[in-house]
Amino acid sequence: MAEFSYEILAAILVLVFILALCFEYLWLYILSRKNEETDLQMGEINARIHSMLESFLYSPTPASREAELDALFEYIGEDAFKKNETVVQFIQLMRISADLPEEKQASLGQLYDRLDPIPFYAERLEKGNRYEKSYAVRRLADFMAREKIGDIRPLLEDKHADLVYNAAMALSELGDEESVVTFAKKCESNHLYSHRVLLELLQAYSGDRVQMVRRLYESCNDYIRATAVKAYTGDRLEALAGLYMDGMDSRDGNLKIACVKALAQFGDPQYEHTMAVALNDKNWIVRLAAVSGLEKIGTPTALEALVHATQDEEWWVRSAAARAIVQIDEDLVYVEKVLGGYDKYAADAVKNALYKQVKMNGGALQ
Amino acid sequence: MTILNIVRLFIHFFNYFCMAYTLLLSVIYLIQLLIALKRVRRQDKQKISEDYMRYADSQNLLPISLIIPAHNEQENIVNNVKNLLKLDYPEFEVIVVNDGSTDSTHRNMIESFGLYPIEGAVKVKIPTQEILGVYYNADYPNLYYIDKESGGKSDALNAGINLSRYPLFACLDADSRIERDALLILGNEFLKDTTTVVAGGFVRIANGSLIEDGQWKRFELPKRMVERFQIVEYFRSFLAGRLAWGKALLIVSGAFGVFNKQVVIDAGGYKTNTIGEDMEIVVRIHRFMRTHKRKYTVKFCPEAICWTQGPMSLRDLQVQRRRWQIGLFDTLRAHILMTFNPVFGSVGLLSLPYSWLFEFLGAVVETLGYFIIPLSLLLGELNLYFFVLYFCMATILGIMLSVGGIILEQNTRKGCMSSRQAMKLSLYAILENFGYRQLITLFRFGGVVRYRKYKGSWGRIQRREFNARVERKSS
Repeated sequence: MAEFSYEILAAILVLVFILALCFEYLWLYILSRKNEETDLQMGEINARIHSMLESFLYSPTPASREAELDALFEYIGEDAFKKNETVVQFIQLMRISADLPEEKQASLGQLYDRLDPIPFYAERLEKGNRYEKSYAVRRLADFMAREKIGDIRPLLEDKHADLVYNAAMALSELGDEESVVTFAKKCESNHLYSHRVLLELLQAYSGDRVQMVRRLYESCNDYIRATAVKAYTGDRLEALAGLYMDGMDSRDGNLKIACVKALAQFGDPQYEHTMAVALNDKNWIVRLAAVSGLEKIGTPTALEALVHATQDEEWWVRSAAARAIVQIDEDLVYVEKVLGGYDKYAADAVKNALYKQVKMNGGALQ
Repeated sequence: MTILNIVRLFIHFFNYFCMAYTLLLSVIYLIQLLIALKRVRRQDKQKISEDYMRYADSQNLLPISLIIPAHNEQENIVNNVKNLLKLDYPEFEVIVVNDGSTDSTHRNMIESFGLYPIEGAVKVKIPTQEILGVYYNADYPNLYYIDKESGGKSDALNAGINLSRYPLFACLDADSRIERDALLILGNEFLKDTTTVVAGGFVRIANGSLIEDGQWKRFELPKRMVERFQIVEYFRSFLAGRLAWGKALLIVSGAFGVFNKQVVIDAGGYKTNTIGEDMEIVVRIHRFMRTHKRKYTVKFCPEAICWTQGPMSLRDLQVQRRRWQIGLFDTLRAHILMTFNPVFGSVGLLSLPYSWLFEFLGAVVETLGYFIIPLSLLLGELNLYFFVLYFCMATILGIMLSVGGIILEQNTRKGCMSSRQAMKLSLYAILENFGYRQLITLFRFGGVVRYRKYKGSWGRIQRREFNARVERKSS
């Protein structure tokens, strides 16, 4: 009897498995059909909106433009997906709007008024899940919805790292100095967000960058200070030169490197002496940055300092200095000086730089 | 007790052990599948805001050195490098390392890219075989080519690391293609999470797919059965398996993974006397980071796609699977002290014991089962009714896992396959249980038995020109 029961039980188990398999097949079928249809539908919607927008932009008369716009909004209706797709395509058009004739730019303004994206995304910010909120804050930032800063700020306190990041990025794009400084201060010891993410955040800032660096420099540690300096190095903010000079005396290697690089960007002979001093720093990356600065300055005394740098103990510094000399010494006076000098490593570095230069120019030196 | 009785007793217990073992393994796979499905669903939701998380045009993405070890890759190397040079990534360099090829790999590279030898210091952070030359052409400013003495794939990767300039490096197979945004996806992982040290992409079988300029265009089922089976197998084993292991992942495919260079150097670089270097380096990174109590994360990103050619013949499939099994055994053996060691957390207590018990011993147990179970049926040691029920159950579970793999794929990459193709492929999930899976087990068993003989060889697999029709058209 017991054996019989086991046999029945095992057979039932197999039947259950067969049923589960059938269910799985059904799942696969429904899922693949749904994916196929969604893919097709999305493609169609995209293409339709694209063509409707083109028709609108290239309509010959204001009346026909208005008619095209009506047709577009009739097609969008209350569909959030279609509206979002239209906004996406609108943003793409805005990116190239500078190249469009004035008439088309005015049409884009008309489209924006009808789209009215800010309340649409504000609603998603209010009611959506954390992923939709992340998306909404960035869209609001795209449209510079500064009036929504107050709604976005509380998101910086959320537990979800992606949402906090997106909120911080949006606030930075909107130029909210206070929030960016608060977020940066949080990152002083919390390394959840990488150094490069912070750079991205600071580079997205649309407010007064000089003021931002000054505030971060005053209120944050050397890590954030270095990041702030690095973020705006390419901007060549002359107003911050004093702050960079101050940073060069720092004990923090990263801050020092960031400041030397920022000063080097100016290529101003008044910082030549500072660069020459930095060539003697114990950190080779500082020395390398100084080489780059001297290359930009390019005066005869800067070249003298570069010749000195070709004797550096670090290959990268020697090589960069040699490359700089080959680049800027048109009369080859300093090149010959190194080649004829007693330092074999310096001469080798210059030979290598010359060799590369000749190869790159297809056989010619300059 | 006679010898016959002892044999009968052994067979009797082995039967039960074998049945329990395979059923347990299937249940573990099912759990993995469910975890993977949950993770894919979460990633799907994340996609809403993902575009903003990518730094496609940002100079703040960490630059990457792409290292391609090549050994007799004359068919694919040039086209592959051309595709890599078109990748969407702000700053990267491509380093091709010719590991003593005996075909025309070297000549093809030099002639196709007009490379010339350059002088300059290469910092030797990891010792390698002798470098015969480093080549460059200013017309391809981010391409470097190293010609070196043969030392194996690991040695070639180490040589590439020595030459590389950037903080991240990616190891790529010369016969694979990565999608244009794949590097962006993986590079992003290092930005989003500062503890990321390894990020692996998903390797998909390219057979049948149309890939143009590194971009997937269309999927068609390949002609050969062996290729179709592999597609199903990749979804089941690699997609589900790797997603499920999360941070305790032991392998990032050698065909496509991005690493923090300094961590790899600190851990000693790639081990040279192994053919399972892709698994070995990840296990060693786990070991190094946990021993030094450093925070770290190993990630698997199914959206970062690398296309690879699956073997087109059973002979090549045998070579491939034997290599994988040898690589697995080699790594497990080398890091045996980590197994069941709580110091290594989930890696020591879960991933490694699982790999020993099911990945390595699975091949042995299953192979023995193929011989002993029929024998016990003949000897009358097994109840035929129970055997049939067990066989049905094991087969249905196997099919469920494979169909589950296809469902997972449909969740990961929507619209890649038509519903018709998905259903057609699911038929192979049934068919593979009647011959293919057994064959694969035998190939793996071959790796266990012939471990000493094949350990340390490159293991040549016959390739055809990757996507030949398309690339000829585009050129």
